[in-house]
Amino acid sequence: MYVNTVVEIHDLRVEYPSRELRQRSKLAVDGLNLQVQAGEVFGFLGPNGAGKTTTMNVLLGFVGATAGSASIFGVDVRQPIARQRIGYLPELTYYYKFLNTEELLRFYARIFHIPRAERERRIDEVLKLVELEGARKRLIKTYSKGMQQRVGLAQALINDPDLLILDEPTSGLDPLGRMKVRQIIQRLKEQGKTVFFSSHELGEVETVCDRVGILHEGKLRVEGRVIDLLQQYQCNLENVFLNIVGYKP
Amino acid sequence: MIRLIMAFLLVCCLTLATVLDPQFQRLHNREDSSAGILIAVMGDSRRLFAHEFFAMADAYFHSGFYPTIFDSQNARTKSDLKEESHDKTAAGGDREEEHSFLGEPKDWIDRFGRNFYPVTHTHLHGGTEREMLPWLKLSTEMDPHEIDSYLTASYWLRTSLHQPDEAEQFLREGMRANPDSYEILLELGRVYFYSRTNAFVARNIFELASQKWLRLEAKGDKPEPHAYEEILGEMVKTDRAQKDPKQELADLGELLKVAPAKESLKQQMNEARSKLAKQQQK
Amino acid sequence: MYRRKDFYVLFALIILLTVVLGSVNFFNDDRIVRYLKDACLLMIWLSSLVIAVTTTARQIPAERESRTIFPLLAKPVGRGEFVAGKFFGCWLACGMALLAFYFFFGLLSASREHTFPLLAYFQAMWLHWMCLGIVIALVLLGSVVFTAPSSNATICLIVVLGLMFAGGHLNGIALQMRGVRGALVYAIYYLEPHLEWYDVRELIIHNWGLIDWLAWCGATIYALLYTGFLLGCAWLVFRRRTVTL
Repeated sequence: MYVNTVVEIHDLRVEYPSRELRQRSKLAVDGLNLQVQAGEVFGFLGPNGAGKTTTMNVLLGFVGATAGSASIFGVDVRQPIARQRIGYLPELTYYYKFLNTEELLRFYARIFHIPRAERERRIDEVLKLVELEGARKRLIKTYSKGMQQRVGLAQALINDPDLLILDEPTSGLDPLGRMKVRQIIQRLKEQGKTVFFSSHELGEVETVCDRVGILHEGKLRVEGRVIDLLQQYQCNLENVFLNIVGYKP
Repeated sequence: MIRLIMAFLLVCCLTLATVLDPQFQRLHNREDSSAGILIAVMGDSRRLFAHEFFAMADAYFHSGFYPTIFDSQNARTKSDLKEESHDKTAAGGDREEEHSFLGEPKDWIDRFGRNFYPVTHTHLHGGTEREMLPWLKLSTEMDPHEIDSYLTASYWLRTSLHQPDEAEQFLREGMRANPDSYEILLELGRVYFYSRTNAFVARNIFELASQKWLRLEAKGDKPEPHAYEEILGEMVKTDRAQKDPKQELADLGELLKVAPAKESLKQQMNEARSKLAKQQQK
Repeated sequence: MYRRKDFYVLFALIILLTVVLGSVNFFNDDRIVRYLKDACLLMIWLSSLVIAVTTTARQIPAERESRTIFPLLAKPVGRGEFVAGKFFGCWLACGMALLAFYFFFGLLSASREHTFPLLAYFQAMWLHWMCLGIVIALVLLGSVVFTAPSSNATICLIVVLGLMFAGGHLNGIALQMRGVRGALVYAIYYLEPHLEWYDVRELIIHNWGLIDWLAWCGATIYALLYTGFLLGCAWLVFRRRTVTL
């Protein structure tokens, strides 16, 4: 069965229990409904603490939903198999420093039970894509921040995923590094991959994304095509964002 | 500037150290010796270690069949490290049937657990007694006043291991640390008498041991009465070896004063008297 | 494993200390060996416990700290598989370390005793490894309960050493007590993992020969069951944990 809806979130509610006694639990996501279709690049926006990372954590099974449901390719996210066809790049991760890139990618590829020949072919392919072929034998601890982020992208792509979840992929990178990551996302889009990513770089989102959703205080305030939003609000995405989160200069 | 200050501070520290160190040494009356280092590092805890190392030697003597601190304290303190009368089986070992501190298994865990540690009472034999010597040596390193360690080590060195030179050397080390010890002298005398068959030197050493014992008694230090009996007994043996019935008679008389209950002594005195009479006739 | 420095440091330390101890002259007798075997085995036990506890205690917290847990759990890996993977990684690494340690021990004792009781050493090493399995599972459980790896490592080391030292004597202590306290101590005695079974140093040092194979199998099964139980507990706790920073 071909599933056109890749990500489906229905009435999602996430509460974090308070660590202090007699304090109320914190509501991170409140009644979120969202759908991401196959082949589109979806930008997930919102100020810090809006609930973006929590939503992604639910999709990846890191956090359980208090209420509601979420599924990927029609499979409940609580099942490990739901993560078979996804790639995930967390924000600023430091990979196993005692491994080199090739060993790291081999380790992740084994989790997906990719056959040996195919595994080696995939490793070559993703290393070429993220331009780390020359450094494949170097220990990861010797890498710069930008290179580490590209290693992250490589590991997210090792299983040739149909859905990529990227949590602020350009955070902390220099302009060159950002451009490279942006180019990779563009290339993946051209390959027909679905990309779901959060970012604070609204200019970047405007250029790369087909659709965006803006989350504020755990609620989805706006969702739609980038072009439609720009036309509706008659301003750039940054102003749309500021308008929605209620910023008054 | 900072480098200059650092250098100045370093020079100050060095100067202070050279001034204070001799005073500190004088204050604590310490010599530059290994014992001094041990005292400085371990303090009085070394005595505890010395005692524990002696217990370790005991455990080795029983090939690991030894009570822990959780077992009966009587079992732990009753050492048979120097006992010569071990039951020997035809199997060549010194095996005795399971007895002792272990008792009957209390539960299945206890019963099952006995597969994983020694449960048979055995004693080292045939030269393997050497295995406990390091612990005895370490025990005296920790506390040079641990006299039992000197005695036990030299006993095995001179008997099973046939190393009287090492036994004597070790006992002389013990003498240096414990100049008033009649026990060490007694053992040293035995090295000369039994291993070197030098009754003359042995007699002198036993004599010295008896003097030390008497001196301690006069001071009111309550030395072990049985030890004096042993010293006199050894003296009698050396007298016999030197064919000196006069001295033998004198020593037997002394022995009779400490052990009046021993009937055999009177018979031995009669024998000595007759030997003396024969000598005088000649 | 082969890139971890702590193993090499401890192995070098064992070799160094054993060589130093072996070079000490006791009464001009170079056939004395048991004290050397004793010291070497003690160091092997301590080193293996330190390696097992510190390595395992760092596993999950380090994954959280470096955030590598996120890309890992974003793969089709269940929480149970994650815990099991961590366990087997540490257990196998400790097994390799034990192999190196016991090989050195075997060479050492053979050099003086001129015998190599391979089966006895195999039994001892195997039981040692089984014991480390229980220890590693316990530390893994601790690392999903306690937040700081240092406190987990300290607590686990104290518990393990306490179990090895006094665990087998709790029945005797319980029998000296009366009423509920005695019953409670006896219950603990039955429930605790009996790690003291796996320490067969006395048998090896004093050449007592082979352990009854049936008892050896029993101890292996007991260790596997206990390890499974502790890993199950670790999985149950970790399954409910949210994986966030």
